[in-house]
Amino acid sequence: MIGIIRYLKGYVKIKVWGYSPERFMNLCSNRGIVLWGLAGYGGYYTMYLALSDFFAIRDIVRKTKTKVAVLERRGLPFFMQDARKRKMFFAGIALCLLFLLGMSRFVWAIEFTGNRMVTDYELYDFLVSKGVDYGTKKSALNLEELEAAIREEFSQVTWTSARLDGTKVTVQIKENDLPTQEEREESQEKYADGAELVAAKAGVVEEILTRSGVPMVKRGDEVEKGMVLVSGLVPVNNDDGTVREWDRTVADADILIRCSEPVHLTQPLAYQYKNYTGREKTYHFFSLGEKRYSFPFGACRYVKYDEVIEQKRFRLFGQIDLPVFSGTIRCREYLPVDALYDEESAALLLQKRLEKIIASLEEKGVQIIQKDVTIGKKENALVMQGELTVCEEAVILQPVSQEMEEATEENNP
Amino acid sequence: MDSLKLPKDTMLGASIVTVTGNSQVLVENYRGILEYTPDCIMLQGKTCRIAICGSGLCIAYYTNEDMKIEGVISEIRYL
Repeated sequence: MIGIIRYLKGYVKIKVWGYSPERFMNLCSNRGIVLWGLAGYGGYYTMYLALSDFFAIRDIVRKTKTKVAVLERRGLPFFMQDARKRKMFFAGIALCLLFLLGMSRFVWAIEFTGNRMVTDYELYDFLVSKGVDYGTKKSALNLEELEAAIREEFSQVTWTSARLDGTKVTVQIKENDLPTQEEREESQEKYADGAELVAAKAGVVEEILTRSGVPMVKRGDEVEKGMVLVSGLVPVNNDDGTVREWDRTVADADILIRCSEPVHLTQPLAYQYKNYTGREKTYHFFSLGEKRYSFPFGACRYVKYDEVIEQKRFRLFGQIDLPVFSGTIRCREYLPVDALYDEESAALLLQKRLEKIIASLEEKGVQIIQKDVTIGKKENALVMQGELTVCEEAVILQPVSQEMEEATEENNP
Repeated sequence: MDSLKLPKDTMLGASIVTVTGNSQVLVENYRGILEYTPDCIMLQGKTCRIAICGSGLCIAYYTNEDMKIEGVISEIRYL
């Protein structure tokens, strides 16, 4: 606190030497002149005193026959004096602050989180249509209205929260994983006359567990593609065993069909690879909006090259995202080289591709039971042929087909 | 004097020397500095002189009432 007051009033560091510096100090304290930071260096002393007191020590100096020299000037009065010489500098600081203040009244970043079905672009376009864009005035935002509008526009969005942090608008979204009301209504309408499950692939029924509807096949049956597996028409019998009427229902069942998945992969032996020459050129760039300026000027002169771009977005105070990017572009020259795989490595590549296919199938919930593949050579390529025996839920739900209707009509005159 | 319970420093004009460890001395009720070197500071009190000796002595602040001395203090003598 004392330090701040001293700074505001201004103070000087002086050097005192001569006949009797001690007396100088005593007289100072007698007159109520505060001295601090006194240090003795044998022949002379240094000390600090307030700027206003400095003008009062003239006669003390004369009386004590000492000499005084000012070593340092500190504090606001001296700073202001300096500032007068650097008007433009301080004007610049003031302008910069004003600019920041002005710019912080606008939205400079928009972020979306939690959206999976609705893309960022869709959301952004919607925000733009609602008048929220980069550079929109913060005071013009009505976040609650925006939240409601997003919920209204995107039916799969069940919850939204729009927040303003500094100059950044964060839109958080929760999407509904379940079918929406519309979709449910649609499916209800579509399947009002019942629905049946048909095979999507030919194969052998491995497992069937019916929840609703009448199963038409049993375990071990061979089925053709398009065959009805579970009918959506449930017979209601009379006492004598004849059918009185047919109830329409939406068939539902867990059905696993064992089927074969053909595999046909070709790996040409000839390939091209990039032989990097080791020559590189690095450009520094910064981009403002859409425009990119790079240094040194001029495009890369290599015939063939890869570009590796690393870029960073400028951020003010870790909060305000600016539409300014900077980074480096590295151009790596290469020469395309034609080469041939030997059979072993080509086979290995085929093997890897097959593994990838199997992994992606398994990700979809398909069980792989058996794989029968052979690798053969064909002209300039290696060919992998064969089939995978898989177990999958290859069924399609569709409205009750005409044939079934006719079949039931025969039974129900 | 004791029965009146008056502070002795005001009545006798005695100096008060408060020493904190061996690094800081606060002196109140003194008249002035007689000598000031980094090794010894001699003060004039109302009744006696006080010599504070040590090394690297420095007067942190200095007013009419009190002063604070900092440094490595090895002895305080009353002359």
